[in-house]
Amino acid sequence: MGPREPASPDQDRVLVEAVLARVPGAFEALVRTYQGLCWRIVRRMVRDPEDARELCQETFLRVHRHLGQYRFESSLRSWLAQVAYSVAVRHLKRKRLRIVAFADNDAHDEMLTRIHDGFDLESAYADAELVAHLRNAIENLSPMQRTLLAMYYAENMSIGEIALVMRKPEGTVKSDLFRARAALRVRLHAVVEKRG
Amino acid sequence: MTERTDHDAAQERIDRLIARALREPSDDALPPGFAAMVAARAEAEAQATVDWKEQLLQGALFSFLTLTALVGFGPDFIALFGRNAAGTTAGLSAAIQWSIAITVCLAVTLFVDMWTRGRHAARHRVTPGSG
Repeated sequence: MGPREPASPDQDRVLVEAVLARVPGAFEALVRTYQGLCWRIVRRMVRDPEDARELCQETFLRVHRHLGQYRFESSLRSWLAQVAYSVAVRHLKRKRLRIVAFADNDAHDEMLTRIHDGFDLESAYADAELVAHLRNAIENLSPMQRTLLAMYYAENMSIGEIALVMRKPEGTVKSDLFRARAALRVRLHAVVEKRG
Repeated sequence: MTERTDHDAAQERIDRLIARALREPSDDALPPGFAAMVAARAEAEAQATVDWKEQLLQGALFSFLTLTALVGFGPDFIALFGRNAAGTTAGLSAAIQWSIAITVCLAVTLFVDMWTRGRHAARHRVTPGSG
């Protein structure tokens, strides 16, 4: 279920109007188009796959209930991602789980100053090994950081789109993205050091 | 300048690897038929909302008609009981006939409504493995 090319605004409009007109099969087509995106966002936020499946279902039921309020001001993809993200955030809050983790900023920033940009990962690992470590490092980030990276790198969303989804100013998204990337580098550097 | 270029290249490489790590498909996924299952649930939910609104409307209409009947015909019924025995019996008999007719109509309507609802629920019943 890899990322697919976003539907064009015209395709989205046709799909939305068909759903609102209750054309048989239209909503199923909408779900099929965006279920991958929804799954990837929710799964990055929520660790339990069963919870993630239920939240995806809840996301699409909400979309169906509130589709009449969609005004085509943003892409359907962004609007749907926004619903999926807020459903997942609400779930984490309800379960009192950690969403953001920038509490150790000072230690983190100090670590970053030691790991300068010239940190040579290339010489440390072969690509496949590095990707495996990266995946592990990504899993250890906070849900918000994981999702932010996934939206930017895997879904190819712009900063503006991510800001819309997360309901944050673009500047904050940029800074969060920088921090998430930096957190990855810190974790990878720790692995390299451990390796010796 | 060269240092900056090296840094950019390294950064690009890291970005590429992060993207690759994030794009790798995960082991778990949504079940097959997820779209059909969710669409059926959404349709059933929407229908339930429509049914609820219809019931509310029917209730309001029924209350309105009852109130109208009471206000319009109530005094005549009261007057009926004031007449002689023969007149009262004839009047009551007509009232009972009308009551029976209205009750039968209401019963038929309710039965048809329940039957339609039962068929709709059976059509949209969703089980975890279905779809």
